[in-house]
Amino acid sequence: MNAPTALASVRRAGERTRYNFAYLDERTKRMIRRAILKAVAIPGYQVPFSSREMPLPWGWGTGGMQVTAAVLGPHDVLKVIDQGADDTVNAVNIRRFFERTAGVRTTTRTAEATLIQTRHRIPETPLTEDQIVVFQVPVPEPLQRLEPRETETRRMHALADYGLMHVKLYEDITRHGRIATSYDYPVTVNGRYLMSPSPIPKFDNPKLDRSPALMLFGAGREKRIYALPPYTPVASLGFEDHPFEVQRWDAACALCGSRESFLDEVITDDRGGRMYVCSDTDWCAGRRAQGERA
Amino acid sequence: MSEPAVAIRGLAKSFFLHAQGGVELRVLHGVSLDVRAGECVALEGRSGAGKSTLLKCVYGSYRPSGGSIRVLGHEVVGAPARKLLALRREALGYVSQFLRAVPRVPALDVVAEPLLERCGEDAEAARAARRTAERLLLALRVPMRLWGVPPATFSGGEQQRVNIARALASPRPVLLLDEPTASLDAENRATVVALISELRRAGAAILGIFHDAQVRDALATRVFDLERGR
Amino acid sequence: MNEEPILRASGLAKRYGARVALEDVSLELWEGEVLAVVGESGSGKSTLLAVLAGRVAPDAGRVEYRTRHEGWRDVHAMSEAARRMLERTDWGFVHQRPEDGLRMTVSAGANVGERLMGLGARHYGRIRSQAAHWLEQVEMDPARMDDAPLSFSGGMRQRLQIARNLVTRPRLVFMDEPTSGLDVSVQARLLDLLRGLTRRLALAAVVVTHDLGVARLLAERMMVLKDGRVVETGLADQVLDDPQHPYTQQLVSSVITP
Repeated sequence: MNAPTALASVRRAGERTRYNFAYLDERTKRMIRRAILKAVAIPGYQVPFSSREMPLPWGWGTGGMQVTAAVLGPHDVLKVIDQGADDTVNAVNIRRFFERTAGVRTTTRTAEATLIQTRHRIPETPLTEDQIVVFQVPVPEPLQRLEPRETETRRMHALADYGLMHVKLYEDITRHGRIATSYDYPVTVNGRYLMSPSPIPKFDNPKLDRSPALMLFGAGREKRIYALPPYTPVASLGFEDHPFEVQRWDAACALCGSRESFLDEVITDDRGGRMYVCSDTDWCAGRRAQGERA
Repeated sequence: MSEPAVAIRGLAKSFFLHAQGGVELRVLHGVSLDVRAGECVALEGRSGAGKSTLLKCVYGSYRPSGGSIRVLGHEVVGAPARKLLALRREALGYVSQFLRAVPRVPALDVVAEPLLERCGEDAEAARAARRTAERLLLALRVPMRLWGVPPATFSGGEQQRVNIARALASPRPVLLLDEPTASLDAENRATVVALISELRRAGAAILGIFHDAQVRDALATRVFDLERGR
Repeated sequence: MNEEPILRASGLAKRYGARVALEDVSLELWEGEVLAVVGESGSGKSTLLAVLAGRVAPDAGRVEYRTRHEGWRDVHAMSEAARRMLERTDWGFVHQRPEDGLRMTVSAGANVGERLMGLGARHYGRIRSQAAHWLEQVEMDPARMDDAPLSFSGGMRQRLQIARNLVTRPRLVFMDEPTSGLDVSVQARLLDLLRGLTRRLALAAVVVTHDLGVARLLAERMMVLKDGRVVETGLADQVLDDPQHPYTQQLVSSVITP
């Protein structure tokens, strides 16, 4: 789409809805962009921001939406996924929201998108330097369940005093024989800050490490933004003798035969029948389009 | 003549009892006395004359009101705590009339303690220290079944033998003895006397209080009467 | 052993409003030496401990610690990060209530291993064997390593707290009434343990206590506090056998010996 057409569609969007581009006013966007710049300057560090009311309740991705609204431009191509799928109610609603308030092109194809807002997954398709991923984050503080006092967690981050997190992992191994966390698995960013990667499965953690894409994290209810600039080292926590491990399946995707992607388990009948299907709908569809079959 | 191991000059000690309105209790009035290596000086005097007080002043438990006490050339009166601790570690030993029983430490470890203190975490050294303690307890006829038991439940005599064994485990060049054989029977008294004599002959300077005339005669090379000043 | 002290404090003062908690308190502590700070409630002894350990800032005076490699450091002038590092490595602090010094819902092994993990230990097996070693040092059964202190008796909790502090082999340990609140027989056992440990590990320690028996048992030197001031100081047996100050005499004579 060339510039005059893009601008025209923006104007049309504005006329239709009478909202500013992407809903938020420019002052708010500036405030959020400042927070994002700070976040990018200190990878993994949680920057407080003044979270705005969005036409969605808290807990439905308002943080991610505010970040998207602040960085979205008329030339962007937006993809919205929820648990890897483009077609859940949540993903559809958020995509439609930005179509209406920003008039931007949207897509389900990861390779075509310049901006991807996601809840609980990172796309399987490898990301590029031209892409931004915006994560919806419910609880930005990785230590929250272990230490509910914010005064304490702030001090822990300031002093890089993360013994408590390792205590938790130690306890897991003691009780379960292995680290029991399977999603929202804590990571160390750039060798300094402890970060929650949002409730993505630990399967996706390796995708964070030195990714060429810019990764932004928005927590609307908790009012925090944090970021991973491109090519930032991200290491998942573990012990030397109990290292971090990704999930594995014995099965392949029942639809496209993929053995490398994150699989969802689907119950097919009431006799315990089940099949495994790619959680990333675009990835699966793409493979099938290329002739791959189960 | 070389300097005496213990040189006491004009030692005075008073106690100020503040609860009783600050009354002064003068116990020592200016005692002067030398003890040389290889000597055993027996302190004589009535009860209350200040014999124990003198010993405690030399050991540093009591703070003299005046005078000077030099142990192996080091001034004890007014010495800083560190100095006194070092002296006690290296040079000065004290055997009281009774054992101050540390709650749960078995008799063997009580005896070995002066040696164990130097061992730190060296397990081999600790074993050697305990072997020394065993030999002493054997010599003093403390039954083996008692070695692993805390001495709090022992008879007076048994406790005292543990006390003495402890002093002998790491003998110091200067030894202060306050009625060391008080609760012992004849046989054990003889053993203790023999062991102390051995120390004296090896060069220890001993200052002691011996109520038993026989013990005093067996051990002392000289007698010092506190009330007469010589 | 170095001839310099390991900790020194000069002219410490602390007020809470009109109340004088500490006035002109100075002291020195050497490596491997145990100093008992004795006083009744309101004497300022707990405040003194908190000031020495860098937890409460004094209104006047200085506390200096001789670090392993960087000479003398003013404890209150250093950054919080530096002080936290000292607390994790060189120092220990045994609270009166073990619950204040433990994570109650986390296993004993994790409690002991936490400092190691905070300093970068990343081998589960080795952390565990270190934890087992220190549990044995405080006479606890290593088989209880996976139990949480919630299920422990008061004496066991206190011993766990001690193990948690010793795992990094601190040079200096602060103890606040480490045995009060425990049954007499349990106290005796704990005192015995502390006595053995301080000697074997050559720990320097400041032990705050109101119990003269504890002071005599654990400490070589003793300091008596009254109304925030040092009233008497000396070797433990000096202060207890030949008290000079009227208050000390009163304190010593009012102890009931069984």
